[in-house]
Amino acid sequence: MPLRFPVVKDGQTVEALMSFATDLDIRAVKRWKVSAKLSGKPVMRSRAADACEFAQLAAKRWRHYRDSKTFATSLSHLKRLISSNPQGEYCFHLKVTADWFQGILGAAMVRRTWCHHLMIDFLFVHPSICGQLTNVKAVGLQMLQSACLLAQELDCKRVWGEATLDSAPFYERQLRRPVEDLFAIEKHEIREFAARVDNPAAKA
Amino acid sequence: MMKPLAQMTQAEKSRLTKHMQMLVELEGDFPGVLGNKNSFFIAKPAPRRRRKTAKRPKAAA
Repeated sequence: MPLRFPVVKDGQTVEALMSFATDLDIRAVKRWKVSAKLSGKPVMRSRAADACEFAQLAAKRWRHYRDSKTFATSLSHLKRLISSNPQGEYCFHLKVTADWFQGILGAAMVRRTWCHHLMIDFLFVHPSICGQLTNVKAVGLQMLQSACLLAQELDCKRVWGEATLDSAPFYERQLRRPVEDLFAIEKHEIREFAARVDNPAAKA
Repeated sequence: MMKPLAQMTQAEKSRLTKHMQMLVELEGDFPGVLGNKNSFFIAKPAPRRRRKTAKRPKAAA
């Protein structure tokens, strides 16, 4: 970390960086607002509002983990926490930034559970992206795949989370199997997802 | 770690473009958020309210 990965902006491949979020980053996403330009587009407006709500919920959870000192701000910090208590539950937030975008493109709140799985609590992209005011693609998928790369690095055997009616089709496309309200990305799939973000098409 | 775009050869760039087309297709109509805001897993105990201590009657002056 930080991890460089490609995303698509206006049809062109551009770079973005994913890293662990800090206190300031979490405060910044908490201030996200739905653009007034979306007032005539109820579906897009609702998606953008969801992104803002998720950012606020993630910040609220973050406060809980911060106060209980179970919050990691870097990969080495997370590894230290795990080695100090292998069965502890720890939380971290990931953020995506780019030099062509002001602020944070997307973020995720992830938990490392007591049995060494990663649980994706919330993953959300900037309201202007989910509201399609900014034409940026693949941020959400790259974040999910990067979480798998992190799981691989930590040797976690599962990445899991809850799927909703809206997000289940997304997970079904990734996992190529039916998904109900709970999804699990198993170790062999973690490897596959991680390899996609650690892009074999253009490795250093 | 991905090589910086500026350092890629033309062949690498075109391979990457193909890879990204595949990812965009795979992402499909991404709703923008993953997770469940009503999840039981993210619920945390409600803060306990402190019991107010009963007011003592003021002593008559």
